[in-house]
Amino acid sequence: MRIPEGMHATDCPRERDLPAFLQDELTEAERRSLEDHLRTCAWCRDALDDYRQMITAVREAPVGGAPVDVRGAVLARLERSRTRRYRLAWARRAALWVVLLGSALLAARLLRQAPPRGSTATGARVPARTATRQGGQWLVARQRPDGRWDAGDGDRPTRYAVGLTALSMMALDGADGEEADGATRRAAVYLADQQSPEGFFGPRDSATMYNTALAVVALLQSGGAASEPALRGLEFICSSQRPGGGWGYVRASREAMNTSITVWQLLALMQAEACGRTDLRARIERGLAWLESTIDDQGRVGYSARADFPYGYETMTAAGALCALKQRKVPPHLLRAFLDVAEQSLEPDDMYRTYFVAAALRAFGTSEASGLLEELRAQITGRQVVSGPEAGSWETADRWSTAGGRVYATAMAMLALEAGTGRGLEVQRYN
Amino acid sequence: MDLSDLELMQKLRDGDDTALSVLMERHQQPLANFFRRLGAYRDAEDLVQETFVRLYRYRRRYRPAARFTTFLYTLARHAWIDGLRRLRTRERVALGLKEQLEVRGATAPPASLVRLDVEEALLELDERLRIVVVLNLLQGLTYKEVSDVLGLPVGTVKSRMFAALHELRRRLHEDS
Repeated sequence: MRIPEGMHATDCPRERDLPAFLQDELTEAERRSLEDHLRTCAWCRDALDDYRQMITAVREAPVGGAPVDVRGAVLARLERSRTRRYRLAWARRAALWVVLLGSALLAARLLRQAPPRGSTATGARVPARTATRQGGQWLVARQRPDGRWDAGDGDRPTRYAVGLTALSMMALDGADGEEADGATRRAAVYLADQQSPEGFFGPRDSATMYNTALAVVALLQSGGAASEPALRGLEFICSSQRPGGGWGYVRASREAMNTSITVWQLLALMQAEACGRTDLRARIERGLAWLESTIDDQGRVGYSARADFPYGYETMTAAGALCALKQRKVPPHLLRAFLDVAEQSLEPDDMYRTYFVAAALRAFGTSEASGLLEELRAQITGRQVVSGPEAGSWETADRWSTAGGRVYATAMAMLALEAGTGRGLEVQRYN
Repeated sequence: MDLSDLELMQKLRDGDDTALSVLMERHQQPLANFFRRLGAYRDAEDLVQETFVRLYRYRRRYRPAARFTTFLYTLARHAWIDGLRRLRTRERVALGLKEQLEVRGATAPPASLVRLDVEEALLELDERLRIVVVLNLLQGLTYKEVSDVLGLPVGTVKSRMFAALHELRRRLHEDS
């Protein structure tokens, strides 16, 4: 293609009609008039050739990316949507009967579910989207000037500052507004600042593996595979994998592994694999194989080995099920145990468990799972603080909340809610 | 004989859900290309899904007077607008971090990422111009159909098409 010297958009006003002329988009009168003009205007004749070539070049430019087939996913989504409507209709009828019968039991139950101390949660069912938006506003307002989120009000970062920052970033992913964008951006820079030369995030202590996996997931989710800190964190995760396939505390022996740490490393590797790091497959398989070795005959996932349940089996069973379901490789007895756990976990007293249950239900995706997820989400939104200075936040009394406080509970609640709307820690697809 | 899009939409409106699978099979790849051309590489598949879910949800609003692709791309455009803010957040975060790292002298992106071709030039166009080019030149909609999808007068589509091609032409000449 040649371009005449001193070319400007307005060298000939009729140039504006040339693309439409080439595409047969002019009226008959316009077309004739332009043909007459072309006989006398060398500028437009040259430009016409250029536009013709340009149109061909654009039409022939290759489109990258693998072929898509969304049929199964769309039909599954529509099925879930139908189930939800059915369940809602059923719930309305059931509610009517409850009112008609004047059940004293209901009143007693409501009394037993008094909101946590210092909060004004109403138990009211608000849309998940509204709850998430309000949670996002609360989180944005709680971000520290250096970009981190942290537990408590002290000036010095706590041991879990990186993990809390990463969880808050994930929770804000997809939240509305410029403020959320800015907060996420500042958080990404804060995380990059916390990376050690070895690639892990935050100090080297008992929180290192959690902090690093969460930071890698948050940075991959917000910045994609181009995030250099995420890739360096990933290398650290890979180098920390134990010969047995799982992961454990950085200062523990090479043989010591646990499912809680392993699950987060696996989620980080899966996220990276979805970003195009296909070289991680063998590591993921080894991690999953170790996880599977901790499942007992009843399908329950142990903490460091089969039938090892120092904190109960429910949370680790849900976490293990999430990893297995994301890979579509879930042993039947694990699935049965997980669904039992899910049915028993509809009161969100423990946000750690609640998150894994919600995410695994979504990954499962059947109508039964969708129904349970809907119930769980309604319970989560009902626990949100709706007025006062902490409006928009969540507070729970589980063992992680004592370390991460309201920031932790709020981020996990939002992730659990988003796990039901297709956001949150859902693996992103990259071409 | 294969049913036309219009016939399939009528079946879908009448409650025959199997028609949706045929429509998806027929249009999912062009839709994925549409979203990728607009810049949604990571989210193209999700956006295609979202478009078909909306197609099902709004199946009774379809009027046979309108060409099916006009209806489909109107839904796709709405899915794109809803997904755009999320995409922008991600891009801004990535950019902010990249700038921060460059200031500290971190590794520059590999040279293979820097491409100066039609595809790149297209992605650098103002979004309002890019969508006109994509719908018209790549998805094959006429100016009138583009104007229906975007809710703009045909004259505006024509002038945006010129502005887009003029800009592409200028950029590619600059690069050559």
